[in-house]
Amino acid sequence: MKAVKGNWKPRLIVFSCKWCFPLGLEEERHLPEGCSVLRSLCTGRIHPSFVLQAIESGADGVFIAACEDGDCHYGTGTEMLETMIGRVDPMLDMLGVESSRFRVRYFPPGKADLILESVQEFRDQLEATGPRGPLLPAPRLSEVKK
Amino acid sequence: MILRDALRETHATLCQDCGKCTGICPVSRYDAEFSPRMVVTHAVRSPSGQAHDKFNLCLTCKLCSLVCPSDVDYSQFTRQGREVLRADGAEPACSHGAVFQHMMRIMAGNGREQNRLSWVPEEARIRSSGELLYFTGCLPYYDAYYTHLGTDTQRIGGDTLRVLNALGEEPVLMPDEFCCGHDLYWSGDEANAAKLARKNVERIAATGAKTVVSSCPECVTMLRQIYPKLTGEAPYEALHLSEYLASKRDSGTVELKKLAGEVTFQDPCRLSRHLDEAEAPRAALGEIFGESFHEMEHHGKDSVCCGTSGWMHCNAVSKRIQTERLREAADSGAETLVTACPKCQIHLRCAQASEKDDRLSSLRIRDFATVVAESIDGGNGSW
Repeated sequence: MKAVKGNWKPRLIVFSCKWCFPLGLEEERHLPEGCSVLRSLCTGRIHPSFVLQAIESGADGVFIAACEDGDCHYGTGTEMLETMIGRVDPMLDMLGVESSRFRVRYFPPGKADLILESVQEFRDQLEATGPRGPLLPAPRLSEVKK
Repeated sequence: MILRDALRETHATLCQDCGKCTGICPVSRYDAEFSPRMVVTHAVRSPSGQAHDKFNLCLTCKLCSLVCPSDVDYSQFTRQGREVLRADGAEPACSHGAVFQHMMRIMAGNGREQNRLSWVPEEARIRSSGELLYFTGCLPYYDAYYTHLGTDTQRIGGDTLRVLNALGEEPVLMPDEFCCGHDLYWSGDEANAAKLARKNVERIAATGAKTVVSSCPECVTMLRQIYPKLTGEAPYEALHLSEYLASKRDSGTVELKKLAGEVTFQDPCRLSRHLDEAEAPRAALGEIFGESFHEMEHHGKDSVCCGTSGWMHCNAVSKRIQTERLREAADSGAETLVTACPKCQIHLRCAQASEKDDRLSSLRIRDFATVVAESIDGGNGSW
């Protein structure tokens, strides 16, 4: 992803479970602009590095559409996702990435319309928050009083 | 991009093919298809001096350079080979999905406000400017990630502050410190490492610090040896906590009290070989534990690395090196293994987690800073 200047629109990475939410081409057409969907065989496979890589690549927000507890095709995916969130949340916090840019929502199987609604809401909120950008200008050596 | 310059710069063209590096290399011991000289031979023989994927297996622990009669700097040659591989689009498959490399590149990419000092104990006396600076490194990030290993690397930070406070120092802590860039540099991403280096040098200068102390030997190698190369300046003196302590002990300003328990010391490769400092931590541990301090079979400059470096890769070879390291520690008669690098602690604890031999899995692994802090406080626990 390249930095967008001027007419800024939020860019989102949406991870979804392939079993419960087979977001197909039809649904993708209804996704808001700037959303890229990455289907994972299980949201338990999503590693903290995926989230960080999305942020590093310039995503304004990361959304995970996960299955509700008990609905996982493999049994333990939701649990693994919870562990992952417990690891990535503090890392994002320390890195200065606002927690509002990372959202996990749980859906019953097959309810693609609920996901679309939730992603739209997330996108609107990110648009209101504004782009990620350098917040602290680094002090220059020349500014340092000798 | 080819390796011709790297071959010359690191004296790799002078390799005599004598095989001493293979004999001492901890990776070659378990992986017959890897050897430092073979990597060089490949680079020399291939028509365009291409790098190949064996570069990513090296630990850059510098053990081979100790025995090389031609003084070839294999570690640096390997690093430059990784640059070539990256430029060719062959990104190494870093361990943990490269989560730490991503973290570092996020830091290198912009000047975001981090929230990295939440671990600092309330009792600690710190300042925002002054002569002495404590460079914490990535300690708080490791704890967030390694929840399953029970590592407490943040504690190393708190204990280092305890030691510095007990020495009468109020160190500077930078809320906008960045990762030192060690792992990016050694995984062949010099461009992003240089960005981090410039940011850190600017911020250190802004605090007015003359001395930078770190509890992580990797940070110290970067601050002392690599930053001058990357930024052209490093207007401070960088010391590992053990070196700083040694300078204070020389001037008689610190008294280390005796602690009980049988201990041994795992020399981090960055401290014992890259920084050439095997004596300072031993002097302190010798004073604290007296005759209860034992040496492993491989110790000091001969010590073997903890099995993986720079989050480059982790495989069966790493695990065997780590298990062997734990076995040497247990054989030395020690119950506690002290190390001076947070990564040695993480890697050895990880090996312990899957270890079936009770003798090895029950070894207590502690950091040098924690032990020294306890000794100065007379064993009064932590903050």
